[in-house]
Amino acid sequence: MLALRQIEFSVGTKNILDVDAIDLSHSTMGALLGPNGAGKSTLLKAVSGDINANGSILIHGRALSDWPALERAKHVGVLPQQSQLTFPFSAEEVVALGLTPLTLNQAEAKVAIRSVMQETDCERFANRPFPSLSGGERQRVQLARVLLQLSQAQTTPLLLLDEPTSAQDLGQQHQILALARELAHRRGFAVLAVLHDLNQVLQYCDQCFVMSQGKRVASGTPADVLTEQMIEQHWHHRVERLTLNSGQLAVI
Amino acid sequence: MRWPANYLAGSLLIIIALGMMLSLISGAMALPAKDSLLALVDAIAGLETPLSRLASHEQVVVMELRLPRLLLALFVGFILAQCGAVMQGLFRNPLADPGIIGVSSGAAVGAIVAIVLFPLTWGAWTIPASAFVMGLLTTLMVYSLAQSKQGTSVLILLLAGVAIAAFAGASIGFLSYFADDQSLRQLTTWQMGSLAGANSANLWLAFATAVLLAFAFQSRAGALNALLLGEAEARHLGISVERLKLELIVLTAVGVGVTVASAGIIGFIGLVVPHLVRLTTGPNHRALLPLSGLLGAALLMIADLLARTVVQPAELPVGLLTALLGAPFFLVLLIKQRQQWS
Repeated sequence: MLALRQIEFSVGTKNILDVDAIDLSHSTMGALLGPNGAGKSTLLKAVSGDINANGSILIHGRALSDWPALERAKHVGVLPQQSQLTFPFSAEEVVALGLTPLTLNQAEAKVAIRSVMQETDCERFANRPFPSLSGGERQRVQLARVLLQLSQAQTTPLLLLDEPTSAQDLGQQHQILALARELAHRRGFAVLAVLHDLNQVLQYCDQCFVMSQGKRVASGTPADVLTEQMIEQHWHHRVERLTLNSGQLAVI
Repeated sequence: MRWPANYLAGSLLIIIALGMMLSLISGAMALPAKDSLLALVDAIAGLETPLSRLASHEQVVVMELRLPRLLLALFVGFILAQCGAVMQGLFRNPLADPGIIGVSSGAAVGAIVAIVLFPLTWGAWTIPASAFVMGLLTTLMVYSLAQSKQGTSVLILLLAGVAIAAFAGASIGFLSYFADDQSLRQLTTWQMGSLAGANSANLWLAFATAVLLAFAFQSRAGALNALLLGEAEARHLGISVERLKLELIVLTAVGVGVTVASAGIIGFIGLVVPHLVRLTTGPNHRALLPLSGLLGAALLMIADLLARTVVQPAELPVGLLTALLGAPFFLVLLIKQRQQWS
């Protein structure tokens, strides 16, 4: 459902992105990988429409720029990396901002808000001020907000996660990744996440795209792509790849 | 603990009604309270046998001095507080006030140029028109300075506003150097704000502006809420952020321009009122905007009532009073919320 071709973006004379092709289908949890400065976040910004990159970005076969703003908002959700809020909305009020592109009456809105808050396990702190929440709680509130925004999608939505695990503790990292994977596998979402931890990619993702110096250098399943040579070549760090008792792959 | 918005709205409406009555019956000329109020009833109902026993010159005091003035206070207070709430929301900055985009500084320079250099060239409208036009031009200049390929930079907008304010302050000082005594006096009133200039023209203008802003801002309340998450997030929610910014800035410039043109510079209403409302009912713009308007209206009316009664028969510039009361109050607010903001 997401098809990128010949994405180019430059600032001044410096080429930041030069990506030949990336395809992501529905019900798939995909990861964007690569060393710092590889252009992962920039590529995600191009897909979310925050920057105007040259090339073709198709979502459900339709060019990103051809989507009317509200329709796009109903089908493409972005979970921000950090969330700050100058004025103290409650958690529930933040979630309710997901109603912005939707047309729901009050009763429907109430049900929809409750349902996404249940799904992300945010109900306990619905009335607490957002700034008083922990990083993990804030992220779940934001995810609930994004899910609400996508709740009227007429076709499978695309969910973009920009470094969802940064500034989270271990438990929170796994919780958010498990949630994202569930959205892909149970609800058919196409999920594209910028991730750093290769073990988490091996554990949670179906697809991965490795970037280096603005180019896509590999794509495929994490097990196929994340070989010892590949990691050493692009991250300049020698690792050993192991198969754990559970069958899970790990690199250390 | 938050108040339900309806309670606050109800209380404010009652305060405004009481304040209006009090404003009608108080003033330098001692008039019977009951008759002053009845004079208003006579005028509204158009009764042939008046209920009020005021002499005609006394009726003029109530109907043509006190009433227009209190109405102008309400409209100006309403506009300033709403514009303040919108600017704080747009810039996601609790210290933003309606003058932040340079409109007040520009308008003040416009007014003072008119007062000192060519008073009355185009009749009584010279000063307000010059203030309004300069205010709008300054804002557009600040806004275009902040434009780049990436959109509008809020930081540059704020810094340019600060620079323009400093430049305006210097220009005003420079011009006052050359002003004669009468201009100087007029200039001071202008800089400190006064509602004494209320007349039917600026009253209708302020009323129309207040109504326009109330509707225009309210229809953008949801977008302002989304904007509190951040500009990128608002865009992802389907909002055309650049257009929204331009619309809100132009509307605010028009609103503040009208208030400065009709009452001079009145500070702190736009800064403090939205904070007070947020403290009581929360930051949701759907409630914040109308409630700020009402509270701003009530506060400015009461401030003006004080301004023209505490030292009667003389009067204080109302802007002086709002700053005198508003500044310490704002500091108290800052100290109380210090932890939250640091």
